[in-house]
Amino acid sequence: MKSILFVDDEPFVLNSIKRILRKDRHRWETHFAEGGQAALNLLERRSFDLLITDMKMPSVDGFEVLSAAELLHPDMPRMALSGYSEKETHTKVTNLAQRFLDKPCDSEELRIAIQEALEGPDDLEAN
Amino acid sequence: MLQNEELRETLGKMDLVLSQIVESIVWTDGEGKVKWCNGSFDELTGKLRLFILGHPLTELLPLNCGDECGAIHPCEKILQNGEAMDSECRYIRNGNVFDLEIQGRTFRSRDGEKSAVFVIRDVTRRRLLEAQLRQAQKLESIGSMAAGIAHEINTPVHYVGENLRFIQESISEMETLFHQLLKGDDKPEPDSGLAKIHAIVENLDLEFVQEEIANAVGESLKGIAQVSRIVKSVKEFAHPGEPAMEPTDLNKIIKSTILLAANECKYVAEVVPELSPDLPTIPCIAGKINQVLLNLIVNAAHAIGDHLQERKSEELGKIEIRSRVEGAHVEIEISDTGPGIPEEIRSKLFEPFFTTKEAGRGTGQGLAIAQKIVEKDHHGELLFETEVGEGTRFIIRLPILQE
Repeated sequence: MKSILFVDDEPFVLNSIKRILRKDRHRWETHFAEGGQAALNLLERRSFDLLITDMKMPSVDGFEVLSAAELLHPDMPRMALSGYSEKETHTKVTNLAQRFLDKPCDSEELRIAIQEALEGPDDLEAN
Repeated sequence: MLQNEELRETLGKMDLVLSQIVESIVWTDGEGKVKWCNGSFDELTGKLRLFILGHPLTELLPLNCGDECGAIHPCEKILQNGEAMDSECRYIRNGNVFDLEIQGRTFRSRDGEKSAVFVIRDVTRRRLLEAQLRQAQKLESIGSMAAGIAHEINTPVHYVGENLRFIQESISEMETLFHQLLKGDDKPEPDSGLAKIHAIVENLDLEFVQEEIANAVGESLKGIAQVSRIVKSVKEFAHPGEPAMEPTDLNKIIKSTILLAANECKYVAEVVPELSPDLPTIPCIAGKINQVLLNLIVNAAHAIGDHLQERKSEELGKIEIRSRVEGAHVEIEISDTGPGIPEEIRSKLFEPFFTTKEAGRGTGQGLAIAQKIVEKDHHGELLFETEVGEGTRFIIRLPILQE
């Protein structure tokens, strides 16, 4: 069973992801961190099989989470979700994350992206 | 004798020179009665010089300031205080309102007599342009906020949709449970578990509830999809996008704009799109064509709205939007059942800042900008046909190929 950590500052967003992925509870164990600081606290204690984080968060943002993840658990695949698909954000992030998803993200799109990250190691090319 | 003539000639020349000045110059005595004025003042008051001379300046310029000037005429204030001041007021003549800027100062002439000189500037047009510019800036900042607002709306809209889908799936899975629960004994033992379940099901009218939950969720999902479409239209409109020409599906833009304008139109007119399915994609700056379309549709809605108000009619007007290919061009036609455009206005229609709407309802730039976008940016044509009492039709012609 693979473990996934979702990070977002909005609890309702996290809740909706929890509901969407309930169907996959036999293969994926989902963990949720509300906000960047909570994510850092969690990552200091343990690793996961996949990290998916929102970029735009107050105080501790997606960059910090991704940077800390890279330092603490360099082998952990990292994915970023962002609402503004500006080229600038893309390039900054592709150094820190292997995959970049536009927010809001279709549940099927999310599922496929997670699948590729967890079950297809060859797919982890920078987007 | 010669000296008098020279004097008269000199005075005549001075009067002529001073009358070339756009501002009004008025020389009064210590009480404000006009001793002399230049030609511009004659024009401002609309009176002959002979009816100006000797009259009090305050009477010649009846002002309409409301509370700003207090009860005292600014010219009176200047006479009393002796100071040069910049007062602004409104002056009414024949029902027309003028914004005036009045400067003045008292002085003593060589013989010791008190006099005053006033310079009066008509700033009506300038004030109007300033007001319109402020309004345009306000709208511009709202427009630039729109993209950000659209994005903010998207997040909750998205998870509401996801939650609804989850509910829909879960309910559907629970139906198998209900089915199982209700299977079996049609006549269960009274007081048994199954009998109690049957009672609850009947009280609840489970069948109705199940169906209505499914309907409620399904309809809510449709509502969410609608919100998403509107947000997408706003984002497309507000996002500056590429200023370059790109192959564009005009029908798609038309539909998106109709959605954006829905609120302006829906109480006054029925919007009827008749879009040709054979429209080719043509090179355009989508964001700008969007702007032109929105402007024309909103104008059409306003025209119909005003017309309905005048006629005190409850019946909705009609805005027809057509797209078609005509030879080497694509034509988009927007026609309304409004009052039509009167003859006198037709030549001024595309003038920048020309508007027949009251303040706050348009800066008069829409058509001027629309024309510029269609003709200069796209090498197309913006035409109109109109008949008073029947309505107006605007036609945007865009070339299918651009050099």
